[in-house]
Order: sequence, then structure tokens, then C-alpha cells
Amino acid sequence: MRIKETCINLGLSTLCIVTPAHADNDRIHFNGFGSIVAATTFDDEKPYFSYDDDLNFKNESLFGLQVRGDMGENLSATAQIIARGSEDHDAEFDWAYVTYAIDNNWTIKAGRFRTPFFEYSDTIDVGYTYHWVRPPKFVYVPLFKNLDGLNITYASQIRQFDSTLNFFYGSVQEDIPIGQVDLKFVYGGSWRIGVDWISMRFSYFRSKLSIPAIAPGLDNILPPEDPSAPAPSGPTVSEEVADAIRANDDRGAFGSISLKVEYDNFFAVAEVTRSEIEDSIFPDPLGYYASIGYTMGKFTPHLTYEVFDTSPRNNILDGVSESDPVYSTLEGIIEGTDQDNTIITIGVRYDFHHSASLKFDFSKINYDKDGPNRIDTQLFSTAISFVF
Amino acid sequence: MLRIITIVFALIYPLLQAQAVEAEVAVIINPKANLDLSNEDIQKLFMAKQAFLPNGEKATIVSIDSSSALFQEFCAKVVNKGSRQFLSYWSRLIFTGKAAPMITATSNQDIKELVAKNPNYIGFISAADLDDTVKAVKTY
Repeated sequence: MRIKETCINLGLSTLCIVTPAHADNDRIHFNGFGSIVAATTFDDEKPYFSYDDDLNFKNESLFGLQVRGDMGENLSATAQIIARGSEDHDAEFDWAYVTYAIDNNWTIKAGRFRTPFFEYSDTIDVGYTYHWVRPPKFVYVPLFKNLDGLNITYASQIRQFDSTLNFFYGSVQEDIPIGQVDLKFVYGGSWRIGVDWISMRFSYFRSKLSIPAIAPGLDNILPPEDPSAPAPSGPTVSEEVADAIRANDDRGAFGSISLKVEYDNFFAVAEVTRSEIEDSIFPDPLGYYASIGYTMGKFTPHLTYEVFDTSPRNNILDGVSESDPVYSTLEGIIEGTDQDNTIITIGVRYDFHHSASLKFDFSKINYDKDGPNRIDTQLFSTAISFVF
Repeated sequence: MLRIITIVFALIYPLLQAQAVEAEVAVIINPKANLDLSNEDIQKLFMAKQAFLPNGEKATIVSIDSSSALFQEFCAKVVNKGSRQFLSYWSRLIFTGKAAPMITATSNQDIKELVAKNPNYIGFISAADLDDTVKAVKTY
């Protein structure tokens, strides 16, 4: 009986295709999104990330295409291809996974997908889905974005609340500008609970990872990892101390909590995140922000305050004697990892079209602790974000 | 003053009434699907919180062009959201791969024909366009 029904369905969908008025096919879907972002600090003495006094249109602009194919029997395949301005618009597969929807509660996903660390992780590239030009930079600073693995989702109702539980297992090998990020494994989950107007999200991950030396100047005092490689010309730290500095096959953890309220035309979102890498110089940053906005017709003015605060690992110095010539260099490098930064952003989103919006953000960036490339500055950003 | 208000109201009232009747939204399914859907079921299906129909079939949603008046009415009455909010909500669903995009038709007639041909389709049209090729599960 079931087979027969399927045959009838197939017959009908074939009919749909031949009738021109119903060329809509429900098996293959193409959707796209993009953002054209331009930003400047108006001051070449005070650059910020890749921005200075020139209006740059390329850094954060991107164009994406998503293809989804429904294969029937609850199986579908999704791929997302993105061309980023920062990578010379070379198109790359960001996501590619198959989804099996078992029923209304259980869904299994396998392949490459976004690491679901944050509230906006999944749609960080789709500017149309949020009010800023870009999500708060001090929270959204992951070293990698996508993971290869498995994801199981359980969606249910707890009294009047919608609950979504996600479990993940996977690994990451990704080249970033400063080297290679390698996570042997990462596992964890997230839980979102809420009703229509308010929701909370918790996520927690653990991993075993290797990341490149993040503090500038470290390479000059670390003994080479490969014994045959030439050692730095100056004095180096002992193997033992090097091990306490390097994030090499060390355990890491990441946790976040977010709260989102959308009441009539008012909305507020806040997110707190903390990451740790044991036995490394990684300064365990705490990042958080709160953002509020109010929609008046086509205009949404908004205000955001964000903080990035680190705890430098001074205990690494315990393994080095003060008379050691490398002591002061290492002390300086560790001091350099001490950061306490804030950004205040005011902006407005103008929904001039039902699938496109124009955004203006003005950010004031303030560094409380001195360090390399830390100059208080202002950033003006504008973006057109669209979906199709 | 009161008299003027009464007169103005008396003049406007039929217009308001006429508009309200004209803009009634009917949620429709295939008559063969033979389903009873509660308000809650309907909301959940259109918000993709529920992917399957009560008979176990995976639901496919048919919507109308988002710039149409019918779409606005549907958002306000059925899912209780502004149309921009609803579109933004769906963008998130689509680009996180959580739901298959809705099929977008250009007219009430198109929606009816699609629903009439596919037993797992669910859509909405102006109630005035209802006929026996489709079954109205709820009118709003």
C-alpha cells in the first residue's frame, strides 16, 4: 500500500513539472544570501582589524548560496557555498551535510556544519537575520567555524515551553591565517528553551585541540617542536615550560549562556561566553554583550555594549627562574595577553525591501590594557544584507 | 460632536466590514488527506516546529508572495507575527538547514492547484476563493 502511494506521489510530481504554471518543485531548493559591507575608521593612525581611513568594501562582504535536495523518505542533503571578500571571493563549501528527520522530535545530521557555539553561529553569515552590520566581535571570535561530525537534535514541548536539545560530536582541521587549528575531537551540546517572546540558550563543549601560538613574539623563545628544525637565535625556554605554553593536544572547554527577548517591537539579547585551554598560555577569555533595539515601522535603532576580558596565565613564569635571560621576554608576552576591551555600538537597520535591509553602525572601541595593535578607535560600518 | 462621530462611523462601518470579510484567510489541505488540525497544529506547521502531519506524512508548506496583502493577513492572524518578523524567522530556519523552504506560489489559484494535487501540502488562500478542490481546515 505504501509503495503504491509513493508511486502515485511520483506520478503527481511528474505532472507538476510538465505543467508550466506549477514548475515549483518541492525537491530541490536554491536559496541565497549576501552582504555588501563597507567600513572605515576615518583615521589611518587608528586602524581596527583590517580597516583604516579608506572605505573598504571587501573585507566582510560575502555572497552565499544554499542548495537543499529532498530525497524523500525524510532524507535531505544541504550544502552551503560561500564566496568571501576576505578570501578574494573564492567560493568554498562551508557546509555539506545530510539530514534524516525521524519524526517531529528527532533529527540526525551528519557531515560538515557550523559549530553551534553562539546564539547567532548558524546564521552569522546571513546578515539579514540580525540587526547589526556584524555580531559583537568580542564574543564572536572563534578560531574555527565549522566541524565535521554528527549532530542529534531532540525538539519537544515542556509544558508551554519549546525545548531543543542538541548533541554534537566531531573534529576540526582548519587553516587559519596564523597556522593550523586541529581538534582531534570536540563534543558537547546546547539546550534552548523558551516561548514565543523569550528564550534562553545554554551550550557547553569539550575538546582536545592544538592551535598555533596566539601571542606575538612567542616563536622567538620557544624551542623548535621538530628537533631537526633550527632553534631561534636568542635564549629559549625549557621543554617543560614550552609545553605549559603551547596549546598542543590540550583539553579545552567552552561554555555560553544567552537570553533573548522579543516583545512587540522591543527586543533585547545578551550573551556570555567563556573559553579555556588547559596547560597553555591561552588567557581564557570571558566575552559578553547586551543589545537592545526597538522597531518603528521600517527602522530599527539599536544599542550594544560588549566586553572582552582575559586572565593571563602568570603561573607559567613559576617554571622559569628570574635570572633566566628569557624571563623578562616571557613576562612581557604574558602581560601582553592581558586584555580588557569594550565596544559600544549604536546603529540602525532600515528594512527598505521585504528581503533586503540597509544598516549603519557606529562603534567606539576602547582598550583598557596596552598591547600590540590596541589603539582606541571608532569604526563606521554600513551594509546591505539580502536573502533570495 | 457625538452626532458627527456617529455619522462618520456609520459611513465607515460597512467599509470596515467589507474589508474584514474580504480578507478572511483559509488554511487549506488536500481533501484526501482527511486530517483534523487544531490551531496549535497549524501554527506549529507554519513555524516549522512540527515537520510531520498527524498522519505521519512530511508536510510541505505553500505560501504566497510575501509582498501580497494575503501574506500580511496570514502573518497577523495565523502565526501572530509581523510579516517581516515571520520572513526573518524563516530565513533563520532555511539558512540553518532546519526546514525545507516554503514553496512560494504567485496566486490563490496556484496554491489551490498545488494543494489539490499533493496530499501532504498545506497552504492558505483568501476564504473567498475556496472551492471543493481543497479542504479548509480553519478560517481566520
